[in-house]
Amino acid sequence: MRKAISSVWQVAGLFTVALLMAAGYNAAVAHQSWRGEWDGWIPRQARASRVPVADWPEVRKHAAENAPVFDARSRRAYGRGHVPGAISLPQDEFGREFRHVQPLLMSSADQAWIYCDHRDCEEGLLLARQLVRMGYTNATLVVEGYAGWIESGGAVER
Amino acid sequence: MSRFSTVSRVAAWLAGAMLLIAGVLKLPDLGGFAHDIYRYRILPYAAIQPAALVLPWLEIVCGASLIFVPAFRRGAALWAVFLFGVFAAAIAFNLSRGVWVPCGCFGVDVWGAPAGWGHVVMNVALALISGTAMVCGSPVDEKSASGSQQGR
Repeated sequence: MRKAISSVWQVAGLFTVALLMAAGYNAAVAHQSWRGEWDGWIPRQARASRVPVADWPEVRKHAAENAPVFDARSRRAYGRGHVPGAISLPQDEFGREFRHVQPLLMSSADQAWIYCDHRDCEEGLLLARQLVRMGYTNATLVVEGYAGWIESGGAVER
Repeated sequence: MSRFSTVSRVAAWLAGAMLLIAGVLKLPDLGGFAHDIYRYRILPYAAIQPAALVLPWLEIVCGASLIFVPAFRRGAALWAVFLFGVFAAAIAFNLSRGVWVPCGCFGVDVWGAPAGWGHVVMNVALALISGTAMVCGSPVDEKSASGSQQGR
């Protein structure tokens, strides 16, 4: 019993010391906010990198234009289900796969839509950012991602 | 000194060294570490920044206690078991739902590659090693135990 009580005191004491050191280090050196704004981080990062953003209703409005839709998730996730007609372009395979999709990007006068898993995933942002930096300014990030597509009642292709 | 306490001491040094290194390497880029936590998509937004600021110091304080402050070894080992257990569970959870993120174990993007099952195994092993350090406890406990034995 005494051992257990002493352990609890030690655990609490160590946490208090860590908390004090964190506060001191942050005030003196790191200067980080204790309240980060992570809600809506992906769209904010996209805008900061000049990547256009859109939502699924907008994509549906332009459906007749046959603009390519790229799925930036892993091939496994793509295999489990994707937006009908979407082309798999995993962000981490971009270097290898780019030559296959380049003709599609060149021929698409309007948009190239890019999505990943959901609002907080980064793969779509990274892929769109890469394309925009390469001059394909029509690459647009669909921020709601695949989860948003499912929630909006979109069909699934496997 | 018994063989049992030697084993627990070595275990404490090993777990302590890992925590200490992991904590120190995170300090230069706390903003990047917060981003790593965000990418795990487990903590609520409000908890990400406080976790990023406190966690490296918790690792440093517990790591240093495991190595240099034997009187606090039991509490530090408890923390170590908890931390390594949480890290293993978080990585395993993300792998099982197909979320591929860098480990962030030793600071931002040191290895770059997404965390895999190897990281889960490593963290479970470290949790077990920390548990070994906890079993024997601190020298204070050892002294009191030997004192009570002498008294009989």
